[in-house]
Amino acid sequence: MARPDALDRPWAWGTGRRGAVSRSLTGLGPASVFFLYMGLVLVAPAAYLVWSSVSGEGSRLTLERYSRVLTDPFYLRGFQNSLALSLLTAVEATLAGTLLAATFAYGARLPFRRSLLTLTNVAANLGGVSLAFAFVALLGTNGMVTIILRESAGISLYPRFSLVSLAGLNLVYLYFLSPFAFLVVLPAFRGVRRQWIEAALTLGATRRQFWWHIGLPVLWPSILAVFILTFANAFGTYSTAMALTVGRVNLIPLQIGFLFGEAAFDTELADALSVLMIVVTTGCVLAYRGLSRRTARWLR
Amino acid sequence: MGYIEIERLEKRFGPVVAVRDFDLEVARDELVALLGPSGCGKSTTLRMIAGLDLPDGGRIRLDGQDVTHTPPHRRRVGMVFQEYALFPNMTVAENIQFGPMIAGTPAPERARRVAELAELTALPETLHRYPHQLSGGQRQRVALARALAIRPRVLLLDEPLSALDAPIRQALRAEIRRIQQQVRIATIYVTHDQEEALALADRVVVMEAGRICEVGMPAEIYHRPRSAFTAAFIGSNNLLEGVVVSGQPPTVRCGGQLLRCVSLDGAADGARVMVVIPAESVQLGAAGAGAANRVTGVITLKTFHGPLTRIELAADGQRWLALLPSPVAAACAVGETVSLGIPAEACRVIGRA
Amino acid sequence: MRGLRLAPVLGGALWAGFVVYSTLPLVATTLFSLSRRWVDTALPEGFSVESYRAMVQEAPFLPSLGRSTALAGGTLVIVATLCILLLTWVHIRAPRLGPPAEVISLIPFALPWVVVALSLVRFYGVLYPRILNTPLLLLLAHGAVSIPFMYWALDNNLRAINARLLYEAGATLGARWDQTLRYALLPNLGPGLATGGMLVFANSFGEYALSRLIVGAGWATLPVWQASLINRDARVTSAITVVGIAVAVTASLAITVWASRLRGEVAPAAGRQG
Repeated sequence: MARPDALDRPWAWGTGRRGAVSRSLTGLGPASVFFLYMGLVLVAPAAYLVWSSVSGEGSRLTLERYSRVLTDPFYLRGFQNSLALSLLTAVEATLAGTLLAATFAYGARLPFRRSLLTLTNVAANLGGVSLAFAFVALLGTNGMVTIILRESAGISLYPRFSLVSLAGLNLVYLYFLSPFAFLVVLPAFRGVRRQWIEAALTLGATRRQFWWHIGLPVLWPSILAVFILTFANAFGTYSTAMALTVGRVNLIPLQIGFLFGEAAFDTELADALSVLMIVVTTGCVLAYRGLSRRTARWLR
Repeated sequence: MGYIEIERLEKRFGPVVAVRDFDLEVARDELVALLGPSGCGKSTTLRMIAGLDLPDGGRIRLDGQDVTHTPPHRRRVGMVFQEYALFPNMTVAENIQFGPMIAGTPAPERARRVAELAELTALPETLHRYPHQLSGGQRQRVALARALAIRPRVLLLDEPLSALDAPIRQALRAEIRRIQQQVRIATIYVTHDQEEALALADRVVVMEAGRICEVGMPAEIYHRPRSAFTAAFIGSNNLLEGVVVSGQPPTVRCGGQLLRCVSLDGAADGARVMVVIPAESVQLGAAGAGAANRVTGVITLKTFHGPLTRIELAADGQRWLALLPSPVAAACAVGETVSLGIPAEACRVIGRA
Repeated sequence: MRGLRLAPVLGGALWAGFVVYSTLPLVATTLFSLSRRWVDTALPEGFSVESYRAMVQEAPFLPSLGRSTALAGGTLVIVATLCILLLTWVHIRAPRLGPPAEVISLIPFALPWVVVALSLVRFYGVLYPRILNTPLLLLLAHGAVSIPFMYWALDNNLRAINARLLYEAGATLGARWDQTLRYALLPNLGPGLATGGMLVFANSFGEYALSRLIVGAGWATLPVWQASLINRDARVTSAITVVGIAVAVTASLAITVWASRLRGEVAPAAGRQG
């Protein structure tokens, strides 16, 4: 693509006798800082981690750590919990986020739209520890709602329900996953052009028929993409779960955290667990990207 | 009675009045152009006819039926949008048969209609392609075919060609006219391009600031505009302000100039009027020797437009415009003093509109 | 617009529910932090600011607050610098770099932050062990994982001002790349930088996973200290949480105000917990 640019001047790093590296960096210019940084902080370490998870004695490759992890009922349970929790919360959050976005984009006069957007940002950005405690204050053994239910309605939440459980986590995850899904899916709704709706109306369709024949078919890839991304987000969450349960619930990110600083034999398991997580989350991001690009192409 | 009857249509957006006092009748196979600058209310009017905006006053009747408050999906109007508005998730064929499908038309009939309309709109083998794979001109044809597939009572086009390149615009313009005449459907065509309006329409409605300025056949509007706005908007006209000096022969004083006109349009002595002189009737030098009106001026600008050359002159503090065949215009140069000849028949008086 | 509205009642109810669900925990926390005693009554039995006084008097309070602020500020500087250098270059001179840059900006989504922590410890444990357990490593990590928060905001901003066009105009007028950047682009990048910046700051301030796993209690940031208290001293924890809420609210307010000047998505960055 690089058109011979008559206005081009050699970038400050210079061309000439500096060699191939310098010249390719010239093409990257200042952007090279970014790539270098990300390479050193994210890419190289992650690659090293993958390699280290399969490297055995004297530079042999081994899958021994993986087999240890995948045959250990404890970690299998962890995966089961993580996947189930992430799946469930992703479904819930995507549903909520999509409905909220649909209403927001097309709803009748929603009052205080700006404030609502602020609220969604707050809920999405609160931070794991603060969020965890806020829910303790709400639904913990002496939480506000717990007390209200007990004193005014005689319903005692505990011990049947506990915040420190998968169900409790579900509730808490929903708090930040719903606005996340909402914010990610909202632009897709804005992409449904008003003229399509008008055209459909003049052609005899009702609103509902429009959404059924055109609106949803155009939107579902975006909604699916958001679901996948939300799933990855939930799957990788550490802060909220850790702050809330301190490990009393078996989730893979937490287990990896616990393996930090253990004896060498066990820390190696962390590598395998991590790579398995990477596989899941990277797969999700790739799927997300694929779906988004497909939609973008259609809407050209 | 017209097929489309619009009576005293009015639309306000807050304090702004977008359309007012709009009265129009369109016959069954007539193509009427709504012509005017941006913001004159032509698109708003069209949208009210389609039912996409609710009027604040007035009535709209289609084939005798009052549709002013009928929702758009029950009006059976075919609308073609400026940006095509094709459904991106459907092929060309699916787009075209969308309306009939909604109406419950059985599949074989739908297929037949798709084929018929694809042929009518000269769509080559694109039926299985998606909109993003088509060119602008092709997309517009699909939009047209789709609108016609529901057998609408009326066809509405909202600046359908403005998003297209010039050569395609010309070709498609002729196509649209051909199709409209073949289908014989009452059509309203909104545009800001006067050339388009003059070329396509049976009648032209010139709009300004929400109101109808003038209605007439293209030739009338062009040669005998009745208002200053129309004269300024359409064609290249010289517009001069003046005072009537005498009725016999009809003479108007414009600045320092006495102009003999063809008629006074009923204006009395002393009345303030506008004189409209088409640029193409201004003659230069010897060619204008026998003309009733003679003006001397200096050429300030020459612009070459292919077969014609546009010449601007300064005479007596007035700016004059002449449109000459290029070979003739080649003879004179910027800065030259020349004499202009304007025949009396070319000078028309219109009231100060 | 007519014909466009979904059942407005349902939509309104949905949003009302969301508002209640979102504000309730915040309300409960704030009330708790202001309560004197609250065991079996629906509302606190008495109000006092004792929790805040206790929080401020705790030895780790000021240091951890300072650390979190410094960390968030440092992260902001790193992220802004990286993104400006990258995105202006991409928009102006190297559109071909767009796709790879975008891919890299998605990496923090593809890597759970626990894994980032582990990989950094492994990698630099071998390469440069002296950086382990230092705030510097944490800062670098924050810089990397916070990239998506600013990337999209800045990218949209550059697209909205048609950066390439401005560069070409500047070039024909004799300006170098960096001059165009300084005079024609940066002044117009306010909305993107502000919106993205707020997200970066808020996120870095409240971040826990990396802070705990890379430096832990040795250099305790506010969330790390907060977490250590969560089961030990509910009152102080509540006060700290209110501080955290305040930061999130301020940042979000700023975001929505500035984002209205920026058409386009600010997500998909918001909402990452790590």
